[in-house]
Amino acid sequence: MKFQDLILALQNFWAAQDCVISQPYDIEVGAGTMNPHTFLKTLGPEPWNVAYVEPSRRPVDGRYGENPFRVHKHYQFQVILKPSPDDIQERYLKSLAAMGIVLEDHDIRFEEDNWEAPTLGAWGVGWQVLLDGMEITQFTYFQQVGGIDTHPVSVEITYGIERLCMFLGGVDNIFDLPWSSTVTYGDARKREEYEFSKYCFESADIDLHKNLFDMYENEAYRLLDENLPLVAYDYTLKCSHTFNVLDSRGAVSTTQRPAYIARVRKMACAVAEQYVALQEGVKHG
Amino acid sequence: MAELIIEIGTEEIPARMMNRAHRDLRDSLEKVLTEAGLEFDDLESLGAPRQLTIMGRKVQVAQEDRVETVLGPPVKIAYGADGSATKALQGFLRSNPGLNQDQLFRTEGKKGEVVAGKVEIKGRDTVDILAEAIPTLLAKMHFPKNMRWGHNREQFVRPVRSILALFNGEVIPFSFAGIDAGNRSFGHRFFGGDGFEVTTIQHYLDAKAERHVAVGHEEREAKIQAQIDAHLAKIGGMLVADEALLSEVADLVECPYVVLGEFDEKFLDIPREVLITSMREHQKSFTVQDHHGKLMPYFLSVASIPTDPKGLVKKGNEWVLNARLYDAKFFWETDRERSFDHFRERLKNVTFINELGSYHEKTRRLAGLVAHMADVLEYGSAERQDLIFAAEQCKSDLVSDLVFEFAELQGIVGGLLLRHHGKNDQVWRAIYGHYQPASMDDDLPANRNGCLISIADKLDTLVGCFAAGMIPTGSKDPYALRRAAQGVVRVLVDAELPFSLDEMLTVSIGLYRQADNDVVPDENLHEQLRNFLVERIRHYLRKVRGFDYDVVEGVLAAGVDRIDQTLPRAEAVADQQEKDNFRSLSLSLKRMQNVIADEADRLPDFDAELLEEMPERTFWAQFTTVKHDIEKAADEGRYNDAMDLMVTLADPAEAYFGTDGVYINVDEDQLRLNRKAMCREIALTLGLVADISTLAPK
Repeated sequence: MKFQDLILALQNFWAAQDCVISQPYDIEVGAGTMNPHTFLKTLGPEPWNVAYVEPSRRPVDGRYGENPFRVHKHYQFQVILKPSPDDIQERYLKSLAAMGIVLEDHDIRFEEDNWEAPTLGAWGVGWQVLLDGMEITQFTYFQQVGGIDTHPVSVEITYGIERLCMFLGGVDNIFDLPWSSTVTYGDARKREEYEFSKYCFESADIDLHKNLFDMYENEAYRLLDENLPLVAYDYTLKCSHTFNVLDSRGAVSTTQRPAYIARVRKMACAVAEQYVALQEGVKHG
Repeated sequence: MAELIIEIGTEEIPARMMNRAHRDLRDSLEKVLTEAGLEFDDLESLGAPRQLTIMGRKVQVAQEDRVETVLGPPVKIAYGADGSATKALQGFLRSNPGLNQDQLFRTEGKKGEVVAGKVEIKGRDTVDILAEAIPTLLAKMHFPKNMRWGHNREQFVRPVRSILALFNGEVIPFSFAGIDAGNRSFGHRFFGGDGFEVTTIQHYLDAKAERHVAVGHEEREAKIQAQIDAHLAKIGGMLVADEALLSEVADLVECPYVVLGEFDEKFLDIPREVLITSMREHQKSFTVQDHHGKLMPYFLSVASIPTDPKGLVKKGNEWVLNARLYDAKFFWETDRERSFDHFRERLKNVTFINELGSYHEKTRRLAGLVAHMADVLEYGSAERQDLIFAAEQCKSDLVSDLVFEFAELQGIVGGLLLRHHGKNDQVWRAIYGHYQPASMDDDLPANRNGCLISIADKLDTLVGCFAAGMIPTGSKDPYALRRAAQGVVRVLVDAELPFSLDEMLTVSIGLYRQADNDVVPDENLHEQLRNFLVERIRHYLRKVRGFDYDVVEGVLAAGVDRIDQTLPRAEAVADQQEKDNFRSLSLSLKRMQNVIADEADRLPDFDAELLEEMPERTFWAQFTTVKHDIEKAADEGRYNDAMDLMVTLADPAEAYFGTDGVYINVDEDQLRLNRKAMCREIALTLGLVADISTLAPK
């Protein structure tokens, strides 16, 4: 199974489930959840179904392209259905079948795994889905986003597509994954893994990033003062990524860590609050 | 009598919540039936990840009709002057339609004579009672974490997708979380076919089994165990037993199928502890060993399928486990190559507790504390060096990749790495076990140095937290200080370590004073800590060792500085308590204490020359013959010997206080105070093992 075939299969499947097939956000994020098509759209009462690939950067997971399983950037396939449908588990299983997995030949289980994103003031309840002991999906009913109780509740389905693809193809090294019929994952990304690992662990300018964090944070609050939560959210995301770089660079002591996380969460919650207030304003004229 | 069966069909319920959910559901339903006065045989609760099932094979179909006496208004306001019913009585009759005025009688109420009548109450049908009670009962079910889903306002542990509820073959009409109860159930998600209608309990169980769902936890555990045994027989292996894992995996599957997988032999280089943890934590797999206890390159995973005809499940599990072990091996090898000094240096950036600085600072204090212990134990210089080195390095593994990955291996990884670096037992084993004992049932660290570091580590945490004002109150104990204190007490006692509590506290507090941190220990700190630890000694002797309240209080009153000695002292007292003269002696001691109490602060030195009467001279003479031996025996920890000698004073003491004894409270100051001074001297010695006056007959 080629990497791109997996993506196409998932896109086609979820498009048929009346999802908007969206695209990655154009700012660095740690997970598909941070894309405003999840973070903001799961707030408020309007129905919303969406699916998209999200390149997700986790600088601390970088291994200079030398580890066969870990990379600083991986791709998530993200699905949001709001409200969560009654038959969501069955639909999800059909999506596995759509990828060519014969469900009866495998052991597929839902094991408790409650998801929490402290920087987003978000948490949910759900499972990791295991395919023959391999974690292939995070399956979460969002209970709170940006510190706000969700109603109705959205379900988030996040597929770890590299691992899924490796598993299905019996490939032991992520960089050997066939992306297309002629290009491997390593061809496309290996050098990038090396450079970004080098950058995040060794080279990133610490003072610059500390300054950037403060500047982005100021900008976010300034924008909130101007009632522009969508733009303020961009700067919240930039803060989040800047913090991740500082963290991987070893520039954040364990004492400072919670304080940084709290600052990002505070911004995210303020954005969420203003976003919801504006939505309600629109609705009530 | 009729059958009751209820099945709440849900999305997968977390394994850790199943047991409690079954029990709660059964208990609350039994309560409903009991309160309704219905007879029933015990209910049975079963369940698998997607269903909570409860069944009763014999439940009464309806409440009995019954006659009840209802009380009306007082007689004096019930009837008018002409004997007709007043408004009060009319109202009573209206609210009890079955009553006629001529059937009324009079009876004694709480406030005098009242009008009363007998009414017949129709028993309600059980099905109606259940239909009313179950939705409330489900809404009130307590889970560690509840959730909402879709548009629902109701909460449950996971979304409810179906409800089967039958009583006497009929559907119990209710709904919960938007789902109407019905008569249908379902089988295994992939191998169960379509849903089906249920008629009876037996039919339900048979149909579930046919559709590959084993609804009983015990049934699943037994199936898993049997398959494991069959696999082990094939490969001549033995299981690394793990009851908790067995119980957990039994609640992760509907249809247990044990996969025997293999992994690459090269992973056997990974230390056993790491290998087992990696398999258990990441893959919930069992480890296999040979008859010599050496690990074998096999694992056992439990899937939820009837069978694996193409071997794909086995192949998949092997692929995943090999990837996991690749990681573990990589971490082990990376950590192995790094220098320990470098690890320790990095501890400067690892916060122990915010107010208390880094782990690096903590290890410096630990080195100071164990140096004191080495002095007490008169360690030679090499021994001393090993101990201090181990204390300095005991937290270094916190920055290792392996501990980052498997937090529960802290200490163990440090020990294994130092063993690899060729350190001796006194170093590596000391670090390996210094987090023990983690609970009352847990073993002590494997060697003495491990015990010493364990005590130092816990004591340092206690002292620091108390100094920073983080003192446990009620159920709030975020740093688990009670458990730490309990650990200190237990290790001191069980490993028989001769340390003075006051000295240790002084050293530890001193180390915080010297260190560069924001914590300024205040004056009361020593006292507070001492009291906190005494509370744990009390708990240990009473609850863990099972001594009586009086024995424990007597022992504690006589001194707690040498915590290790409190146990042998309590044992001696408990032994002696059985002996004939003991009660008499303890009563005499109590008298002595009472006698001196009011003038304790003005007693002179005792002067034997001033003794006049026979009983006091005899008592003193006998006392002086045994005094030295009692003190010597107590000092050497021969508490039974000491108390044997004390008991020889029971008779002279009784004579002293007896009817022909000595009158102490004479008017003459010198004589009275000297007699009291004698009591003080004797009481002091008799209290060396325990204040046995607490054991006097009340």
